[in-house]
This record gives sequence, C-alpha cells and structure tokens, in this order.
Amino acid sequence: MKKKLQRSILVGIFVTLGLAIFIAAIYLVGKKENLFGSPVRVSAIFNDVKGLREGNKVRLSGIDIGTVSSLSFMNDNRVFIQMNLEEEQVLYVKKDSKVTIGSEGLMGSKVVMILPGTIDGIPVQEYDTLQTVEQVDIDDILEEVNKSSQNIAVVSSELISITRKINRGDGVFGKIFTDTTLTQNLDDATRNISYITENLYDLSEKVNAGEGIVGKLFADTTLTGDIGKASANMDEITNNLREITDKINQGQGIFGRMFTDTSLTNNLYVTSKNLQSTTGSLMLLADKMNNDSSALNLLIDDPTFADSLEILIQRLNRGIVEATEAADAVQRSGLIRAFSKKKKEEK
Amino acid sequence: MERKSPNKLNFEQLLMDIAGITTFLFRYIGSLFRNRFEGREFINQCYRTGYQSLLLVGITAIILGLVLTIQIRPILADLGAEAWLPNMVFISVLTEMGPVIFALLFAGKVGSGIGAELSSMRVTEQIDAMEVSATNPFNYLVVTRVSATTIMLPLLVFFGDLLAFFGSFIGLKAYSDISFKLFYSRAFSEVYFRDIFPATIKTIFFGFFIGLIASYMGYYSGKGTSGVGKAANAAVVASSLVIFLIDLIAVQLTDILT
Amino acid sequence: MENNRILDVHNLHKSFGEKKVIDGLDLALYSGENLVILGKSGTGKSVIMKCIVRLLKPDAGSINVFGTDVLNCGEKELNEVRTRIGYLFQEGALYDSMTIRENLEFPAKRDKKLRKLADKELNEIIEKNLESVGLIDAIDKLPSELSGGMKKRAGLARSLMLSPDMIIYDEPTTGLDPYTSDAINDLILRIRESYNTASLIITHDIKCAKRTSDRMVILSDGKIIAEGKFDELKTDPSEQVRLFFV
Repeated sequence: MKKKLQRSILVGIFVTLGLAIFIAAIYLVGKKENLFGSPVRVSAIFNDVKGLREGNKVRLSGIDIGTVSSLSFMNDNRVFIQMNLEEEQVLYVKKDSKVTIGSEGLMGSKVVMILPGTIDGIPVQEYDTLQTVEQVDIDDILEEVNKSSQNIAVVSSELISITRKINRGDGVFGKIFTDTTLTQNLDDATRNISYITENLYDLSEKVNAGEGIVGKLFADTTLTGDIGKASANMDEITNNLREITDKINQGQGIFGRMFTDTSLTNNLYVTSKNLQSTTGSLMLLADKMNNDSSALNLLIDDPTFADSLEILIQRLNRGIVEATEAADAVQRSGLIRAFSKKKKEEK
Repeated sequence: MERKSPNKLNFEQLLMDIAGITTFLFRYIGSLFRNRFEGREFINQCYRTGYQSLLLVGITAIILGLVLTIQIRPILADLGAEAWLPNMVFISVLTEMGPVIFALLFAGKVGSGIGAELSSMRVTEQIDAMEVSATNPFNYLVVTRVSATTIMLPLLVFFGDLLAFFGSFIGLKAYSDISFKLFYSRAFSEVYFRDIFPATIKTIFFGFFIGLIASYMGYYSGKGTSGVGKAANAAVVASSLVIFLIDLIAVQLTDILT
Repeated sequence: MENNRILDVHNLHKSFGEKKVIDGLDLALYSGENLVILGKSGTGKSVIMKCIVRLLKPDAGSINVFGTDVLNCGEKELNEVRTRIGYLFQEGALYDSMTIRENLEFPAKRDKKLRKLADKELNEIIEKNLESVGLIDAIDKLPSELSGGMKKRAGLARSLMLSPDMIIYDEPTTGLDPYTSDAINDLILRIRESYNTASLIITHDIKCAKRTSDRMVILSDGKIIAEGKFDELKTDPSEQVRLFFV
C-alpha cells in the first residue's frame, strides 16, 4: 500500500514537471509570437518585399519588436504587409517612421526594419500605415562604382605623366609652376587616387563575389543614396579631369605659353588640395574595408562607424562637387577656349 | 487467436497483424469508454513506463544535445554561422530527433517490457485466469498500458527536449564563451508553435502505437517460453517501424497544413 | 442428484488444424459431485474445460452451464456464469506482479456484489479462504516466493473468492511430489465439504482420480470410452480402459 502511494506521488511529480516544461515552452514561444499580449497592428505597402514571409521579424533600431502577420497583393500589384508590434515597444515607433526590408544574418531571412522617426513625433496607432523606403538596388551602385574606378585609373595615370613633366620643369611650364606646394599637392593626390583605384577594384570584386555581406553594408538607404551620388559625381569629375589632362598632354608647348592666368592656377591649387584630402580619407576607408577583416562586421554592427562613413562620403561628395566646379572653370576659361581655337586652326 | 510465426516476415501474417491491431485499436477505444477505468493499475503503469524511463531518456537526451552540437559546430563555424548553432540543434531536436529517438528508446525499453510481460501472462494462463473470473483482462492489462504509454511518452519527450537543450549548451560552452541567456535567446529565436505542436501530437501517436502494438504482440503471443521472447522482439520491431511510418505521415501532414 | 444437472456438454467437436482433439463428446455434471476426467497428456482434456468457460470456441456442439447456453449467450450472461465457476489452472496462474492478498482481492474488487464490501469484510473473506487452503502465512508474499504446491493452493483460494458452485481443476497434482499431491487431493475433498461445490477434475494421475472421484470418465482420442465409479472401471474388461490402470 505504502509503495503504491509512493508511486502515485512520483507519477504525479513526473506529470506535473513534464506539463510544466510544456507550458513553459508554450509561454516562451507565445511571448515571442506576441500571442499573449495585445499586439498593435500596423501596415506598410511595398513594391517588392524581397522574399519576406509571414512570421518574419520586425525590427526597430536593431531590436525585435514584432512580427509580420500577413502579406497580400493590392489591386495595383503592390504588396500590403501587416505587422504585429509589441505593445510596450510601439511607443518608439513614430508616425513618421519609415520601413524598409533588410536581411538578417549571413543566410538569414528577411526582416522589416523600421527606421526611427523624429524623436518627439506621435507614436503610431493601431491600423496606421507606415511610409516605406524602397532600397536602391545594389547592382546599380556596383556599376557606378566600377565605372568611377576605371575612370580614376585613367586620370591618375595621366596625372602622373603631367606631374612628371612638371617635376622635370620642362620649359616654360616649369617656370610657371615654381610654387612647389602645388606640385607636391598634385603629386600626393595622384598617388592617393591610384591607391583608391586599386582598392575600389578590390572592393568591387568582393562586392560582386559576396552580395549578401555588402547587402548589410548598404542596408541604410540614405547611406547608399550618398554612395550612389558620390560615385556618379566621381564619374563626372574624372571624366572632366581626363579631358583636361588630355588637352594639356597634347599641347605642352602651346599650353605653357598661354598658362599665365594666375586665378586659374589658384583654382587648380585649391582643387588639388581638396582632392588630396578627400582621396586621403577615401584611402583610409578603402584601406579599412580591404585590410581589416572585421571592418565588415563593424559596418554592420557599429553605428558610429556607419555614421562616420556617411559623413566621410558626404565630405567626399562635397570635395568632388568642388573639383567638378574647378574643372569646369578650367574648361570654361579663355585659355582652353583659345587653345581649342588654335587647334581648330591647325586642323 | 494466436500469432503463429511472430518473427518470420510473412505477408499473410503481416496482413493478419494489421487487421488484429486495428481490431485491438477499436477494442481499446470501446473499452476505454465502456468499462470502469483501472485507475490504480494505470498509475502503476505510468510509473513503470514513464518515471522509470526518465533516466534512460534523460541520459540519451543530454548526449544527443551534446553530440549534435559538437558535430555541427565546425561546419557552421566554416560558414561563419556559428550563431545559428543553438537554433539549429534545438529545432532539429524539438521537431524530429527528440520525438523519434526517444520514441525508439521507449519502444525498446517499454515496448519490449509490455510485450514480454503480457506474453508471459498469456503463457502462464494469467490472462485466462482473469477472463474466467469475469474480470476484463483487456481492460485491466491493455487499456491501462496503452493509456499510460500514450500519456507518458510526450511527457518524456518534453523532459528529453529540455535536457537536450542543456546538453547542447554544455557542448557549446566547451568551445565558446556563450552566456546561457544568449544561448537561450538564440535557441528559441526561430521556434514557433508550428514546430512544437506537430511534434507533440506526433509523440502522442508514437506513445499510443508503441503501447498498442506491444500489448497486441504480448496479448496474442505464441505458447511456451519462446513465445515470450518472440513477443518482446516483435513488439520492438513492429513499433519501431510504425514510429517511422507515423513520422512519415506526420511530416507530410505538417507540410500540407502549415 | 439426477435432477440437478449443472453442466451439460453435448456432441462437442474441436480440432486444431488437421488434428481432431475433441470428437463428439457428451458430458454431464450434477451439483455436489466430483467428476474426474481421466486421460493421457495431450488428449484435449484442458480443451474441454476451456470450452466450458468459453476461453475456446468449439467447432460444433452445445454447452449448457447453470441453464445458460455459454456458447451463444451475451457477454453479460457469460460473465455471470463465469463468476459461478472457479477455475484452478495448472500452474495456479497467479498474477505475479501482485502479492497473494492482492491476487485474491483482484476478482473480488471487480465483482458486482463483492465490490460493495468494506475492506474489513473483504479481508475476512480473504483470510478465511487462505486459511482453508492453509496459506494464511503467505498472505503478503509474491507468487515467485512460493513453491509449486503453494501456488496451486493460492490459486484455489483465489478461485474460491467468488463462492463458486462448481470448480474446475486442471491437472491439480501434475508436477508435484507425492506428498504434496496427497495434500492437494485432501484439499479438494475438504473444499467440497466446506463450500459445497461440484468439481470437475481433469487429470492423468490415477491416484488423484481414485482419491477424489465420485464418478469418472475416461477420455481417449477425443471420445469418452468408459464411464462409472472408480472401482467399477478398475475391473472393466476392455483393453483400452485397462491401460489406464496399469
């Protein structure tokens, strides 16, 4: 009898513990799936959800705050997604927050990323529809980067040949460029550019090989926009520079004679200086990207680094704009016009 | 009714067994609702099938978690996806490895026990004795055992899953300095109800059929002491096979339903 | 006696595969009577007994116990008949996971009438039955701790639990030493005295038959070849019968 009682107790304990494990698991999973709170439902409309699925996570500033509850087509072929957000966290999602779709982990599934809105904005409410940001396609960016780096290579090689000539102090040219700082600047810029070019090539190759990794890098669309713009500008400036240097190279003698406008020289000086500093920064960046193996992780995880990258690219942008302007000025200047006239006459 | 050649793979016998087990199943359901439930024997069987299997399942579970973790770790590390390890191991244990491996162990320990016990009761005429004293041996012996295995196996699997989870943690902790909290949140990061419920329902069926088949093999075993061994053997072989059949059906059903 | 037939077996046939075990058997048992069925091993004696309680279904024939047609009645009637029959199996058939007390409790606790008894009253019945088979000391032992003879006595005590009107003994003395066999034979007689039951005893042991029988039948090839009192049959001239008394 006593033995039987003992058995009943043991069985009772066994069953209780087993059920406790089960209930705990249900609770833990349920908490994750937001089944026990009352979730706040918000929605967003995308042109392309890039393989997002029901149950995928919704993140705000990297913290999981909800799940995607449904996906459906609207009659204009766009995709309407509904998200369940945790009640406690929904305060931090403002009405002007934007959503975009990113991916998670190396082989990870897609996540909906909510970009924080203004700090003192009104929090979203049930059934709100958030604005979306469609990402720039990574392939377009890569194409731009590739073009730019090719141009830079050409420019830099031509710059080298110019500076060589300058250094040798060929004829009149040498006399005009008596200011050694300018030459020095130009020289530095040239080296930097060629260095960047190499790195950019490396980088773009890596990007081509591992699209997923860099996907993270360009998760922030503002940043990618900047990069896109920067590379477009780079393209333009390098094209211009190439034109100038072509011309300079072709007519050394004539050029030398006409090169008397000091304001132009000044412009060129400033431009080269700017170019030097920007390329220096770029070099640093490219260096980090290529040589520091953890740089990519840093890019993904460290917001400070991402921020500084953004600032850097903005600065680069500005530098490039300046350089473009300077180059334009060079082209516009009477000097070159005269030179072109002369050329025509020769023809 | 008596199974003639329980061990020979015989097509005729196979069909007879399928028919027999089906009859047994309906008899179980009928008896469950019609007759007085043998509560004390049920508790006793719960004790023997559940509680007494806990150690075996527990040790296996810890080793399972440990081994899976240690074996998968280098592969995931090569891919740079070591962070997915807890998740991968836990999901595979939760949905497939746990239920099937623990059910097979259960079939080996409890199924053979039931087969041998009922068979020896048949051989020594104990079942006949119950029958002629107007007590319902099916109700007393089979219903209690099948009910016990049906309820105990899912519980054992819960214990096993939990211990495999700890085993996996220990395995990972040996190689990297991961905190329990991080391990836990990674392990649970991709676990959903659609993983837990089908697996649990599956184990209920595993438990039910292990009990049913083992009881059937024992209840209708051949005469003589060799019948006992054969019944135990047939109980394990048939229920192991059925575990995989149920698993196959379950995976297809889950696939359709989710 | 004549008008008190409690068992009537008529034209019973049973075969296992090709082998005919019972071939047109007729048998009757009267209340308070000890009937011995004598036959060599493997002549289907146990099969008759099992047909009587419907553990086996015969191929043909009819069996009537206490006025109930056991082969064609419903489960409820069958169980009523079964509670009135005590069955002592060859090895006692004790439930080996239970103590002797639990063995005796087992049928009682599942019986319509006895279930209602208080624990104390039930204990009294158990103790009385164990005392009458002389096993009161072994009440809390497990069957595995008992010898063969003790197991049979315990099995007998268990079959007495439901106060049967008829007890079937399946080879009561087989596998026992002569001393224990005698004790069992005495017990069979004593039980009949004190419980006033009819007994059907299957045996191939001539000593047992002599000691316990009021009347006996001799079974050969599934048929009854002789019937009568022990002393009458002993002097039967037929060759077949004489073989049993060698």
